[in-house]
Amino acid sequence: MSDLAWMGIAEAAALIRERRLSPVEYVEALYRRSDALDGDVHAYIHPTRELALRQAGEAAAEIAGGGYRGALHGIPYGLKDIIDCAGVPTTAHSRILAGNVAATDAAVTERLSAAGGVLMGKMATHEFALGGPSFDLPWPPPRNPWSLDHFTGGSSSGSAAAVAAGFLPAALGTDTGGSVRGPASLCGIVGMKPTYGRVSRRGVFPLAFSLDTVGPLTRSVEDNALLLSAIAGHDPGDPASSREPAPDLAADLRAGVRGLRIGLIRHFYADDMEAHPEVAGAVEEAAGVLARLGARVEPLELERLGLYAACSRTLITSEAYAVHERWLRERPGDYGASLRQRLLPGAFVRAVDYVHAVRLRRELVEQFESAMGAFDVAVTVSSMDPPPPIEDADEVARTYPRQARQPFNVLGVPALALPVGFTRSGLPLSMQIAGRAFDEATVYRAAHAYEQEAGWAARRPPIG
Amino acid sequence: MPEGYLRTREEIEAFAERTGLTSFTPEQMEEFAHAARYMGDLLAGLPRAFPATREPAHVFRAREGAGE
Repeated sequence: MSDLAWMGIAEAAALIRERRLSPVEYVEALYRRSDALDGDVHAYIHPTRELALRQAGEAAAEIAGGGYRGALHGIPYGLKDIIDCAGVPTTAHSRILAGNVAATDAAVTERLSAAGGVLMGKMATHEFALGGPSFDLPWPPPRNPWSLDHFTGGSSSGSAAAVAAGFLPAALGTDTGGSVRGPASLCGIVGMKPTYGRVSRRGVFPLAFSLDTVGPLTRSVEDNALLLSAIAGHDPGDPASSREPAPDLAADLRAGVRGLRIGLIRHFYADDMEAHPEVAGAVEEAAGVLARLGARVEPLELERLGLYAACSRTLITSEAYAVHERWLRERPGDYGASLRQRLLPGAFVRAVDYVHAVRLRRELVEQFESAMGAFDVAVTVSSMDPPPPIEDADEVARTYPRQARQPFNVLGVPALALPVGFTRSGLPLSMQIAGRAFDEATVYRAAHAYEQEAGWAARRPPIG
Repeated sequence: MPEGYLRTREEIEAFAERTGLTSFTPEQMEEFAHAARYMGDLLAGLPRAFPATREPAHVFRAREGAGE
């Protein structure tokens, strides 16, 4: 049996099904690792040890009795600490919610419990999924397992750090302007922002209602597809939830890319912004790999990145201010400075600005759908730069907005970040593969083909 | 910054008072004034010349905006 810390969902599921691995043994091994190393990584806010051991014991007993439920039965996972689990604190990494204990499960927690998943704990985040990295909150920001002096990206920082560090095989994060894909990129793992409406947000603290999504972080594409398949589907408790059927997203994983039409959005990182040469080089190389595997890779032109960014900024700033206005009036000092400074501009956005942003959003969607008529998926960079040093505030501030993730939030379409190599100093590099609305399956198919050919998923960070 | 936004410190403090943001420390009021100045960057690049009848995407159906 391979090291439990680095075992993925698919491999562990096979062993658990055959009763060669006990979920209790799995959970205990992962906690031993995080107990030894999380004092440096800071991925966990609140381990749910008692609950995890109970759920693992129940899974073991049920499987022994012939009641195996499927690929997630007995599999440990973490939740970004804006996602509710009944009886467990949800803090959003903020003093504002100190003492808040969730009364009910979020829809995704319900679905993972029903699938037999084992909740290991609540993971660190940028405060309310927006401000960070912050050093003035009750918990420190996570550190990047590939280099503890470097930034994880955000806002699903703890979820990504825990998966990258081998504390968990999988975790859920949220993505409003790139918050699953950013930390996945900087921590060298796989992160998916599904189609808007694909996964219920009931029981997830909002950042910006019209952009919020919940998505999985894993070390492999297959594991990611398994987890998203488990949490996708209609929920009448979320007003944005789609009625689109949720298929088995791992079913076509091994179909390959021969004949697939892939659009390379080069202008995002060559003209609209200039990516770091190691980032641009790795993405170009990855596109070359997809072409060698039989895909037809051709340039794809969308609207310029700045237009997407202006749209996204206006929507997030306005909607987030509406969420936080009461607390900003009554308890401004309970926010960390970083989040407060990001929220306050929302007071000044006029209604007409917001309406123009939503008008722009529609035009961007129309242009994308027209341009994508000739393509199955699109490929581009994720972050423009490798991970910056976490304590270099200027470098974090410079690199934070240099990304190409916001377009796919504005468009509402699925986009996945996956590793495409490492810098000369050993820090992760990443690209995005985006698809048409509700076509996560083709995104996973292309990503899996690249992943199997490139082999980056086998590399481990120098920790523990 | 487009017309119609707050510019002077007096305007910004009066706006804070009017909108119930009355618990700020002097440092937080400074952040608020900075946020008002930052509006120019925030809104830079947002197009405004839409046809008068141009319908926005509908918030919870943004994904389905095209062609409807």
